[in-house]
Amino acid sequence: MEKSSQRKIDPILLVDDHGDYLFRYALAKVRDEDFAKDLVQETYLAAIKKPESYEGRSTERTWLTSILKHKIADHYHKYGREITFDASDPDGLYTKRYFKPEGWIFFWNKKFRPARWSLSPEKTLENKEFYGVLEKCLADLPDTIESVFRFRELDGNPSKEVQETFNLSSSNYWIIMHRARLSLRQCMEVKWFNSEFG
Amino acid sequence: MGNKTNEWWKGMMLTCNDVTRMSFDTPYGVKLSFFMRLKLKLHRAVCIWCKRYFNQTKFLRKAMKAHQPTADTSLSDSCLTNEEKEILKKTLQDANNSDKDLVF
Repeated sequence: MEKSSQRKIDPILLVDDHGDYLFRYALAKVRDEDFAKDLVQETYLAAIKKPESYEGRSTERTWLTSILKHKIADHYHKYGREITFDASDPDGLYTKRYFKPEGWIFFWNKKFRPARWSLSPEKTLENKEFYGVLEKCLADLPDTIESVFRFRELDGNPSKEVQETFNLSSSNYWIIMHRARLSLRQCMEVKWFNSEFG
Repeated sequence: MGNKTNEWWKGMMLTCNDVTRMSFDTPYGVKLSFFMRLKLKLHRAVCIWCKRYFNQTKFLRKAMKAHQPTADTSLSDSCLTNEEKEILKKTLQDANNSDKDLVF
């Protein structure tokens, strides 16, 4: 067997074999076609510059995907620094919309009170359309919040990693996750569980 | 006396805003005390909306874990065009060659 350092990496084959896969992978994370293309190109460039990082133990696809993951994480890190949640929503005002002060208690605003779902949640997990609606509701979130939320809930990263990756303070983390969960639940209720088409 | 009871309740009862915020994960380094978790449970036991919010969001979190966007049907048609691939290949070959020039 060839030693990994001597393994010849053919850029043409790499693009033909894995280009679409990497593009979809990037697109699923960043939700922006042009940006996903840039990430794919950067990934390939990094790959051919450092062919020795391919250890031969994993498949080419795994190797390329891990480079891509790093590129995405780099992006998030830069992105996180640019996120100015502090300025846009200093006290989590958005989430407070959902509640109104009633005496000393913050009570659910009538418009946003969680309703009973008419569809059984458990059955819905096998329904492909459900995930389409879920995607739509995620896409409805502001881009920055969507990235953080996806990184947390879809990729299953612990809060420590999310905060480090996006450079978030504890209070920002709390505001973002709270806002995302409130919006998502509300959106899914209206567009899926209690919609007349559901 | 009535005032005192009121104060006691204020300390005991969390607002729906706090309950929904704290019911799921906490930021890194923040740990809810046993007493706080008890207060959350207590609130959800008496507040039908927070209880619903909790169960429904719990379900949605489960659904998001089950959801694999890479296999997402809305994305499965997304491909790089042939033209884009050709440009990419050319960029890579150029980069490859310029590297070799540096070495030799």
